[in-house]
Amino acid sequence: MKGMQQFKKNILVLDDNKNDLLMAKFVILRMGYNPVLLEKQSLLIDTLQLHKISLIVLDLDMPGLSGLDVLKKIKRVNSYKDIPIVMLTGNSDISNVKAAISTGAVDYIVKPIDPAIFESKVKKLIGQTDERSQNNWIEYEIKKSQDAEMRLYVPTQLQTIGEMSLTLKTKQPLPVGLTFYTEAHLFKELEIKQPPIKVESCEPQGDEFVAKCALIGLSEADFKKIRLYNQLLTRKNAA
Amino acid sequence: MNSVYAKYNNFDSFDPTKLDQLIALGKDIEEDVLGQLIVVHKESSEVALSEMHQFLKEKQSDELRRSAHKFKSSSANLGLMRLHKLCGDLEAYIVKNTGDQLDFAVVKEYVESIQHEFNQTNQKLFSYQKAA
Repeated sequence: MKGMQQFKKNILVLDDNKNDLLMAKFVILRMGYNPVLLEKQSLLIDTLQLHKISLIVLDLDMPGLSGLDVLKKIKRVNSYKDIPIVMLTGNSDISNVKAAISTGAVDYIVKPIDPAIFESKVKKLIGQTDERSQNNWIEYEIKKSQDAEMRLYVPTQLQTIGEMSLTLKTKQPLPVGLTFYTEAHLFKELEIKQPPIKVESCEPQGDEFVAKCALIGLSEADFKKIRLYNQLLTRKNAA
Repeated sequence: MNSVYAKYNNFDSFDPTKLDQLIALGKDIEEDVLGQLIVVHKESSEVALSEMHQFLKEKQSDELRRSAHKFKSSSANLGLMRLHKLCGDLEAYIVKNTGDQLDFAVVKEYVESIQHEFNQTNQKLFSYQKAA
């Protein structure tokens, strides 16, 4: 058993909230990984030196050094900068998440921790780390760009769609570079398998935001459906 | 109770599906997940509540916001949805109303409501745990 423990991947969770820490611990145990739990930022570097960490789950809203400060600190250290970091956030304010992602966090999990979402995100990221170490980096980067990082649950309204891009209206700003899926009904109607979408720009417009996004991985048949849809829409508007 | 609490009358106090999820998680890893979370919740909530009363006295809004934020999260982990909502709304109220705009009489009503809801749900939690 002791030997088995040595080969388990370590997942570090840093959160000042004991309850969330405990919750994360139980889910990580169920996944078969080894949870390394920290309540205080001051012990982080010692812990990173002591354990080989495969993934860090980092709370954004902590007293003293915030999660964002800790993230910046880790990213400055060569030995630790490649460890994937997922942010934990209890706030619906997406601007902190946006800042964390542009600083190098790979994803985020919204509190309260939902065991199923936590498991699926952690599993995916650990899988990507394995893949990165096994394959060459070019293949890894291509696959990463093809994988959507998250499902978007903020309400979005599809404005326009072209063969390579679309425009969405949202109530919250979306970080540039974020790859995600949206729940837009149009894809269902056109019988197009939900494609990953990558944010290229996001600008405020009144109380809302307009995001221009690239469509990734559509087939020639999908392009035809979109072309046809746009032609029908133009005719309908003209009439 | 006060006028703030009255607004939450139609809001479910308790989400039993969340507790069932924790019981199932406990069975998977052969640990008393629900029991351990309840103990930590009770301990941390008592600290958070006493801090909230103290910060209210001292009118330290940012500290109050942080305590409410912490309490919000641990309540939701145990399916205490009304408590989660009250803490979240207090947090949002403090964020939205800075400086002179912040009415500490309203904040006081929130803190009292949170205390009341905590006392109510504590009993329910323990009886659910016993039954499970």
